Amino acid sequence: MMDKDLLNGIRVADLTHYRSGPSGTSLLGGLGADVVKVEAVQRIDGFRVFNTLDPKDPHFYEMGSYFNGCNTNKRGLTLDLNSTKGKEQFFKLIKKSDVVIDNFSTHVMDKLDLGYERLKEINPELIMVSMTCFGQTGPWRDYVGFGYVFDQIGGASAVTGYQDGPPAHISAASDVVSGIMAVYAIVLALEERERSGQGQHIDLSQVETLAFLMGPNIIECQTAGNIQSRMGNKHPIFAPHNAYPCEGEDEWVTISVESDQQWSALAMAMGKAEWISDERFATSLSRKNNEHDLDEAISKWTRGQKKRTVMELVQSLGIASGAVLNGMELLDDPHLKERNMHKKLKRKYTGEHHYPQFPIHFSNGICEQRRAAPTLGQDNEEILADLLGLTSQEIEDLRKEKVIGTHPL
Amino acid sequence: MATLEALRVLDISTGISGPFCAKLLADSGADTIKIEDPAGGNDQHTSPLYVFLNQNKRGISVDITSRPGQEIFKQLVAKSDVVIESFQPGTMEELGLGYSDLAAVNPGIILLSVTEFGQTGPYRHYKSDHLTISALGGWSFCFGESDREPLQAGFPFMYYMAGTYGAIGVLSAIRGRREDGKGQHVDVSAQEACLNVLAYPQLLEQYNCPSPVRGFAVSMQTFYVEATDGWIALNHLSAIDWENLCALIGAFHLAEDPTLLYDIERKRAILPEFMRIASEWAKDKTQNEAFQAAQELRVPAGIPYTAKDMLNCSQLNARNFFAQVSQPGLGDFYQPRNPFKSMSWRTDRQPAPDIGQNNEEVLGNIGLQPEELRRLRNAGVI
Repeated sequence: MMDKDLLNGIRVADLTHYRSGPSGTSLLGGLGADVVKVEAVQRIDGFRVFNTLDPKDPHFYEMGSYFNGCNTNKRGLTLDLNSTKGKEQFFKLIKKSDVVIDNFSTHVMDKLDLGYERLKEINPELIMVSMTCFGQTGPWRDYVGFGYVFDQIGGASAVTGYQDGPPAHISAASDVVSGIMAVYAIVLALEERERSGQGQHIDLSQVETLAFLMGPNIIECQTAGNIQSRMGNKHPIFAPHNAYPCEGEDEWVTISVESDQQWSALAMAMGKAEWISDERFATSLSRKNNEHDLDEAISKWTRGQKKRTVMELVQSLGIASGAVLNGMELLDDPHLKERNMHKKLKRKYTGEHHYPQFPIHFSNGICEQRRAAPTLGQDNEEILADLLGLTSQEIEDLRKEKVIGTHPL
Repeated sequence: MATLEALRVLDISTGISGPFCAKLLADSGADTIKIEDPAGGNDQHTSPLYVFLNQNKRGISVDITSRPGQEIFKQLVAKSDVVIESFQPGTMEELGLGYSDLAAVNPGIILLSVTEFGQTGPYRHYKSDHLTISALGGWSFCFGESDREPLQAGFPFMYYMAGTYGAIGVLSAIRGRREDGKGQHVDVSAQEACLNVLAYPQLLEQYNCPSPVRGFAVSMQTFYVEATDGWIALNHLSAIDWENLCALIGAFHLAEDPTLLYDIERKRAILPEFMRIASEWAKDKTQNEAFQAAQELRVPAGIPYTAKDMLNCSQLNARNFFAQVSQPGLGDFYQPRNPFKSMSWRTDRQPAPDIGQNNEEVLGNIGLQPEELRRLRNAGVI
């Protein structure tokens, strides 16, 4: 059987920057779409300068692991969208694209005269995704935000953190929620276009995408009148249910017991048969009531052991348990290795590294890391000549006028 | 008309990932038939989670461990496009309902298996829950405080992600099917969904960057201070944000040196002073007053909203984010409508079904006569 490029023939003009949009468009590229990342030498993707070790490196904007992590599977084009000539090439790109996606603040695209109504004149079947903080409408439409704000207003912060601690953020991972939800919006809109021939403008508020996931809590606060509190790693009914320290520095293993039978099996394995009838620990309810003592007791048992040893033993009892893996351990994890979850990509300036793969595996399709993140303006010639039909003289002129380039100004 | 109205989905999954995936497809218009074990009971069917995950689905009950149940299931497969399952790997094959069995009945069928660890690999039979996935998927190590235990997120984050990846997988496979009419088996893992929400910790080390340190305040980009009625979060990302933030709380001197922003150690040194001034600034304001004042100065502030706060949020309400829903057994309430605004969604919202609620209608459509249905019911097959 041939492995299919499932999004073969789909072209995406990608104006997104930082993490929320790029993490999604990287997946579209992994599925076989031609993703053209558009930056400008006047305004590069701000994520390029995050996490660069040496600001004096002449190519500092190529060195960051965050940018290189979430911009795989794209071609790189620079265009100054403030200039008439840059706009002219962008309109030509839009004519040959199926999707355009941006994550600017609400007014930016309109100010550039690149709003949906304008782009639709050029390509009536265009699918446009605008990822904003709070959406295109409403009293807060122009308010500012980034990942942490989505975590907070979207409801994740209030329910996340230690039981005895303040609200936490979810590391701005709501960026990825929005990015991946934008991909669903796009594959769904492609189906709509297949069916009705219609394109559309998708208004994605990154706060709302996260707030959507709080649906059950939102229902519960009305039907039961309770507001979910922060629970750390704890379970509302069962215990033990936590991360426990193991041998070594900052080594941990989780154990999730969900029945009295599981507790009996665990107690036996720990050599503490007496705990099965110990009134502090005998039932789910008593274990919850004495959870602090319970966690202390289990920590005493785990502390002298390797996390994987505990995990394997507890799993052999049919109880959920996981070693807390750090970055390098993810690379070496036997399970992820067998499933080819990291792939070596070579990139100019930074060299060869192992990048995480996507979680979708097709029996007859490809979803994988195909190419490293583009250097700034990496594919200018190829795109402008082959796709947009410019002569080498015309390309040279654009370069001289700084409409395109490969170094930030 | 919603986009996926021509699509039929059989949802035999349990837990969160699979049902959430089927929910996205159902809300996009797919005729989604939830198939449950007739012996399963109706207890959980009015829980907020169950209701949220299963609206807009029709419900039938079929015992697919029985031979007649398997035959019914295959008849449904013949008239469907997608099957979503979340059993332990190998279970569907043991029931004679593996991908090749289903493809023999309907070559176009797309089987999505959305599980904890995927269909292959040494952990595929591991027991798991959200805490386990967060540990083995690399989330927990980076999350929590450095001197305390690592933490999971406070909602089933990784399962929602796995479900969303699943829905993307299904629609990509539908697209691929147009070429040759052939369906396929799609394998999605929650552990790997988790791997994909991380901020690339495995790349940091390869790039010779300092290893990530666990700690909510490590990035020093968000500070929680107490307003009169709860926490307010003062966040900043860029140098301009920092300048605006210092201006907001009247700590102009802290913004004088722009190199401070990217020097974590020096920033940590001024933290007590910053927090003292910020707390003083916030202490006589409500959360909303502080938030509005901050946003006026273009400081990306936030409030850690509870479910109730979200329901009262003027922005969400102005955008008609909540739909009013009536669910038998649970009552009337408001809930989030959709994760983004698009013409692709269904505009109505049907209550989550009871077990076997649509047996007659769905099984009648594949040609089962009332008498046969009665016999199957008596035999416990439906």
